[in-house]
Amino acid sequence: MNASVAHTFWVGLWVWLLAVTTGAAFSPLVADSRFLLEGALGAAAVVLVGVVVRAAGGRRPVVVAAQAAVTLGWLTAAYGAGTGIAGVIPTPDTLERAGALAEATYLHAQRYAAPVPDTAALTATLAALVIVLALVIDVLAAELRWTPALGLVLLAVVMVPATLLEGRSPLLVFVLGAAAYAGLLAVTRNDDGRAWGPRVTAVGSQPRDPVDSAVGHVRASIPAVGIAIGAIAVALVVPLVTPTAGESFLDGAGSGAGSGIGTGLDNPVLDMRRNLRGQSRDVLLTMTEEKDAPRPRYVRLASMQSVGDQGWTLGDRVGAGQQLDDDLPSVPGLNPGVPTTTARYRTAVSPGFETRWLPHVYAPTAVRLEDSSGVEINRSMLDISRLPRLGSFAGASYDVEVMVARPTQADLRTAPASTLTMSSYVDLPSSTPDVVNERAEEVTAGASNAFDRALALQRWFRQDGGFKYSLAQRPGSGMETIEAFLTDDRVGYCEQFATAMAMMARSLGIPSRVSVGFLSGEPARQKGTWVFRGTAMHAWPELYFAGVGWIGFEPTPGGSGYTPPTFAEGSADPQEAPDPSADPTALPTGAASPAPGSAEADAAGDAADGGGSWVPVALVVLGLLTVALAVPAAVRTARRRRRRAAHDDPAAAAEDAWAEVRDTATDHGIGWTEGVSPRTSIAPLRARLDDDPVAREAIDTLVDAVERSRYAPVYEPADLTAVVDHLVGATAASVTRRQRLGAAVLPRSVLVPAERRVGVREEDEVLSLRE
Amino acid sequence: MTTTPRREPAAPPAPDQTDELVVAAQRLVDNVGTVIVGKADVVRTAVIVLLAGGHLLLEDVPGVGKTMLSKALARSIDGSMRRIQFTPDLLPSDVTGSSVWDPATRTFEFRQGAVFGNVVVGDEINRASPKTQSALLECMEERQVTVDGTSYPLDDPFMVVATQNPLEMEGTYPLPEAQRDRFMARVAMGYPSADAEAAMLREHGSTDPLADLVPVTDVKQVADLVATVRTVHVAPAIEKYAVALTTATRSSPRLRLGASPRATLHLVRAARARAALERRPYVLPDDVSTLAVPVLAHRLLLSPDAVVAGWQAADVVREVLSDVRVPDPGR
Repeated sequence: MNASVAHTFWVGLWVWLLAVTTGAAFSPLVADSRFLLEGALGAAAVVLVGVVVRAAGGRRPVVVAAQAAVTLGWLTAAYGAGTGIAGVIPTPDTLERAGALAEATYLHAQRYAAPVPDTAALTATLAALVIVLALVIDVLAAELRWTPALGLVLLAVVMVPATLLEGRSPLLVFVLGAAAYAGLLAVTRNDDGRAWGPRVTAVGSQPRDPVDSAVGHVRASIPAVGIAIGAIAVALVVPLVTPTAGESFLDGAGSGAGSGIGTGLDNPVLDMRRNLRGQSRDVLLTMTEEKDAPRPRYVRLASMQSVGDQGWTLGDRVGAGQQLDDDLPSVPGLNPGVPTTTARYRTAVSPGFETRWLPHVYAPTAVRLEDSSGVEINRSMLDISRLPRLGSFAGASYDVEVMVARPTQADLRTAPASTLTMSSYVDLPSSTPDVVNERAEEVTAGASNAFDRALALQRWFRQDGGFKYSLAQRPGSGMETIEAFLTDDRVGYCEQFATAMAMMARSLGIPSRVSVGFLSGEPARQKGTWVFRGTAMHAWPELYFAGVGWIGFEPTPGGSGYTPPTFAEGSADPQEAPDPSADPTALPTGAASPAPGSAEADAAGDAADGGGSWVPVALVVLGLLTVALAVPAAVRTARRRRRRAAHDDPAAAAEDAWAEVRDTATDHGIGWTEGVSPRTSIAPLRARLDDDPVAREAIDTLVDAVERSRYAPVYEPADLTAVVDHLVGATAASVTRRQRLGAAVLPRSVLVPAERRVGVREEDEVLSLRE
Repeated sequence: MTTTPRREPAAPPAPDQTDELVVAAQRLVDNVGTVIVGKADVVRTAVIVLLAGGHLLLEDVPGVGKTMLSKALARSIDGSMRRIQFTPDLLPSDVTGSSVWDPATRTFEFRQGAVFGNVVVGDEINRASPKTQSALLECMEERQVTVDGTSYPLDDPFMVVATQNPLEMEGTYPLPEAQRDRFMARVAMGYPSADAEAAMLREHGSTDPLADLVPVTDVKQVADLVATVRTVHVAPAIEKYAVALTTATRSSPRLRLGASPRATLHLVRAARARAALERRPYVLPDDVSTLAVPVLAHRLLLSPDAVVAGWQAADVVREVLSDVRVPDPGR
C-alpha cells in the first residue's frame, strides 16, 4: 500500500467517523435515528469519492468539485422525490422541494420538544446535515488542512442539539465525537504542524535565548487563542439563535414543575400549560413496566368533567370520592363480557413535581401506595387525589395495576345511548357557541352510531379540518377561545383540540370528559423504564360508551406521536386488534389510523422503542471498523512475507532484514529515527535489549551487514534470517502485553508513514553526536 | 554503482594494514596519555588528524596542557620536532628561514627556519603578528618554503600543531578565517576532571613528564599509515553526506560564512582516518558525523543575530547534523 494512499484512506475514514458521530449528537432529538443510517451511507459516498480522486492524483479543485457533485447528486436522488434530471441533477423543483422540507422541519421542530416524532422531512433534513457535514469536514481537514479550526464548526453544530437538550446530551455520543475528532487531528497533525505552531525540532536547534523562545511560543499560541475565543463566542451565540432553544431564560418563565402548590394541586391543566409553553425538560415521572406491560401512554392525572363559561373544570366533586384502600371501585361502564388485559407499572414521581393527582394509566384496579392517608379515589372518574392540606405526591413511589379494556368494534358500535346516569356528562353551558353543534352535525353527517361519529370528529380534527398545532395559541378552553378555534384560525394545541372535541361530542349526546396527563415517555437508559418530561404533558378527550366505559381519542394532529389512542389498545400491534377482519379505520388504534404520518411515526416509535434502528448502523460501523482494523495487520504480514522471500541481490536481503527489524521496533513503540546512520537508528533498540547478550550480538551482526552492504566496497552476503528472528522475538518480549497487542493489531510501521513518525529519539541522536 | 567510473587511489587497506595502523595508533594514544591524563578523546582526535595528514589547532585557556599535548605527540614520533614560540615580534623569516651571505663560498646560503621538521609545534600562534602567522600557514598548505625564488620542500610527514588562546584573552591577533581553514580540526582541551588533576599533581609534581617520553613510532611508519588511510573506501553515499553537511552550513541563517570545499575534503579525510582506526576499510556516516564538529566548527563565522542569541559554532554544526539526513545508499 502506497504510504500517501494509506494516509488518504485513514483521513477519509476519520472524516467519515467524525461526520457520523457528530450527526449522532442529533439522535436524542428525534424519536427515530434512521436519519443517521441514511446520512452515514451518503457521507461514506462523499468521503469515498474524495479518497479515490485524491488517490488518483486529483488536485484540490477536482477533489472538492467531485465531492460537491456527489453530495448534490446523492441528496437529489435520495430526497428530491424525483425532481432531478435523471434523478440526480438538481432542478429548480428540487430547490423548491428542499425549501419545503426545510420549512416542514422547522415548523415540526418548533411544535415539539425532543424527542421530536419522526417525519420524512425531518429524516431528510438531518441526513442531509450529516452528508453535508462529511463534505465540510473533508474539505476543511483533508484539503485545507484546517483540522484545528474544524473544531469551531463542529462545536457550532453540536451546540444545537446540546442546547435543545439543555445539556442532557448522551455522554457517549459526545465522547465518540471527541474521539473521532482526536483521531482526525492525529492523522492530519503533521499536515498542519507548520500552520499552527512551531515544528518540533531537536534540542540542538533550541534557541538559547529565552526571549527568542518566548516570542516563538507567543506567536505559536495566537491561533490557539483565536480558536478558544471563537469557540466561546459560538457557544454563546448559537443558543440565542436556535429556534425554541433557551426559551426558559429568554422569557423568564420558570419551568419548574409544580412550583406553585395551589395551582399545581387543584388544576392539572395549568401545570400542563406551563410545562408545554415553557418546554420544560424536567423529568416529572418515571415509570417501569412489569410483567411485559405495554409502553405506558396516556398517563392520566385527572379528568375534567364540567364545562362552564370559562371552559373545562374538574367540577364539583364533593362526596364523590372514597378513601383509597385495597378495594377500588369497579371500572365504570365496563361489562364483564368485554375482553381486557392487565398490566402493572411501578411509578416514581419526581420530588419536584408537586402533583396532588396520582399519575396512572386508566383504569386502575389496584394501587399500592406507602402512605395512603388522605388519598381519595373518585368513584366515577377513577382519578386519585390527595387532600390539599396533606400535600402532594412529590417523591412518591407506588405500584398501579391497571386493566385495559379491549373492546371489539361491535362492542363499541352497538353500545346503547348513554343512560340517564351519565346525563351530567353531556351538559353544555348555555353560552356554548352554535358553531360547536353545527360543525359536529356537519362532520358526523354520514355516521350512524356514536362510535362512528366520534371517529368522524377525530378524523376531522386530525386530517380533514385543516387544523394546525401551535403552542403560540392563547391558552384555555373558554367559549370565545373555542369558537375562534373552530371557526377562524383553527390553530391551537392539545387543550383546545381535546376540549373542542369533547364539547362537540357532548353536543351530539355522547358523554365526554377531558383528561389531563402525559402522552408518552422517553425510553430511559434502563430497559422497560420510561421518563416523562414536562413537554410530554397532554390533554385528550375521552368518550363514554355504555358497556365499555371511557375510551380515549386523539384529535390533536401533527403527523406526530399523537396517535389516536384508545384504552382498548393494549399494544400498538394491529395484529392483536380484536377483530382484524373489520374496517381497520373503524378502530381508533394508532397503527391503523388514517392520520397522516402516524403510521410511519408509530413504526418509527416502535423501532426506537426496541432500539432496532441502531442495529444496522451499529452493524455497518462495526463492519467498517473490523475491516479497517484488519487492513494494517494484513499489510504488515504481507510485507514480512515478502521480505523473508529469497533474494537474488544480497544487498537487498540485508536491507530487507534491516527494514523488518526497523518495522518491528516501530510497531512496538520503540524509537527509530530515519535519516541517520544505521547504528544511530538502532541505538534505542540496542538500549532496550542491552541485557540480552545474544540480542546485542545479533544487533552487531545486523548493523555490520547493513553497513557493509551500504558503504563497503565489496559485500560478502551473510545469512540474517536467524538474526532477524531473534531480534523480532526479543523486541516483542521487551515490551508490555498491551504494546505487543498494539503492534499486532495496529502496526505503526504501516499506519504512520516513515516521514511522519515523530523522531522522539532526535534528542538521543544529537546527544550521541556530542560524544 | 559500478557504472560510474570512479578513480580509486588504491585497493582498500588489507586487514593486516589496518591492524598495524591500529596498533601503532594505540601506542601513540597510550604514550601521549601518560602525559595528558584523562583526555583520551582529545588525544584520539589528534592522532586522527595526524593519520589523515592534517594540521591540528588546539584552543583553550592557558595552562590546560595544550603545549604539553603537542610536544608529547611530537616526541612520540621518532622524527624531527620543532617548536616555535609565537610572540608579537617574531618575524616571518624566523619561521621559514632566510638566505644569509656566506663569505667563504661567496654565495647566499639558505638557513632553514623553525618550520623544517616533521612535527612543528606553533605555540600561542595567535600572539604573533598576522604577517608571521601567514608565513606559517602558507607552509602548511604548500608543504614547501619559497625564499628568494627557490623552493625548499618540507619534511614528510609534516604536521603543524598550533595552540592558541581564546580570542578574548589579552594581546592576541585572531587568526583570519581563511587561515583557520587550513587546520583540519580544532579541539578544545577543557579542564581535566578533579581526579585527573589530582593524579597529575602526584605524577608531574616533581619531574618533567616529557623527559621520560620515548618515541613509539617513526617517521617512516607514520608516512605509511597516512598512505594506508588514503586508501580507505568512501562510498558515494558518504561523499554525498559530507557535501550535504557542508552545503547546509553555507545556507544556514545562523552563519555568515559556511564551510569551504576544503572543509569537505578535510572532513572526508579525517573520517577515513577514524574508520581505519576502527579496523574498517570503509567509511561510515558515523565517522563523518562524529568528526563534523571538530573539523567544521572552527571554520564557521556566526551571523550577528546568532552571536547575540548566544550560539556557538559547534551548536550550529550540531543543528546541521540533526537536520541533514544520511543519504540513502542509492540502490
